[in-house]
Amino acid sequence: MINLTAYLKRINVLIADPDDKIRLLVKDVLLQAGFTNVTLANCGEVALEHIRTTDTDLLITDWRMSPVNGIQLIDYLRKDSSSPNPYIPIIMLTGKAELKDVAHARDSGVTEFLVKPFTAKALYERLVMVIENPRSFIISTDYKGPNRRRRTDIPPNGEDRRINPPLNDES
Amino acid sequence: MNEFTPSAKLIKPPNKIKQKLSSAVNVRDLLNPETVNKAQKAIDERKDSFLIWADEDIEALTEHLSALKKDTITKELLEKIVKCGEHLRDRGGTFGYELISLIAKSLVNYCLTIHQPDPKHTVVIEKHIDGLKTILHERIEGNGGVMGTELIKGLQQLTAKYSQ
Repeated sequence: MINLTAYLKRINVLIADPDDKIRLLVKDVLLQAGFTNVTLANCGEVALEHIRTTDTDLLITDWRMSPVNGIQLIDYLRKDSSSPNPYIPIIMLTGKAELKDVAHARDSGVTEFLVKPFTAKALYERLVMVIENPRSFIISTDYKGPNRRRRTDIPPNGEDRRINPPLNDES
Repeated sequence: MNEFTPSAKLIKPPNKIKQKLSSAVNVRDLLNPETVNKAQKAIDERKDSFLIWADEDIEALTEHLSALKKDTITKELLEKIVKCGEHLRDRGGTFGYELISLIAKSLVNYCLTIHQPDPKHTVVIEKHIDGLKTILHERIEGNGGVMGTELIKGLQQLTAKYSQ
């Protein structure tokens, strides 16, 4: 049996959150799974500097940060020509949970969205989604980020399509 | 042009994380009940710490409320209230105190609608802080059952009445 923990040590995760308690809590949840390379940032500016200078594989970020907030950070990472890692998977972990907030985050290019308060299971589910079900990227003049329509990632041959059982022939 | 127009490009970026893991690794193992429970236990073990943090935030809110009663509402004061409210909203439910999160969310959302000073806002903020104090004092976990529902309903009516 493959020991997942041994391999997760290879992954570099960055957590950007202004709340020191939540930062440490998220780190602890990741450590429990076997991640060991987890870096903490208290704002978007620090997070960006870290991504510029290290091989970061995954970003977990809050929205409300200052001076650079989570959305500005994602905008830069996804769209700026000098972005060090435009395809980095991003999980937004935030207390901003109104529908308009989710849509805004999605349109900025987040990969997964998780609302605070959160559970360990919900965070792990997002990690699994990011790693096992990566979405294709759209590059257009007004959007660059993960495909916002997950269903269009269905293989073209339709092998993952649900097959309805045949209707009963009552004739 | 949007992502569904023919001129938009669809690409498959390399899955860097998957490349770093062995192909034999099944990341779905993260969702094994044993793994999830271990991580959730790590969260739950900090419940006592949460109560201390919540107490600090509610104490700070009480001080901000006193300042509100003495002076007019300022942007700086509102920001301080929102910050405490966000701590309680984001942390409460994570540690099993969903009702704290719900009331704090209502407080934050209300404060974000305030654009003009008005004494009525102090009343609404005070009612939220009173609710938070009660829940913390009584250690009411979860959504508070019938009492919690009534409390949230009352706050919703109050905020609807006074929202600008």
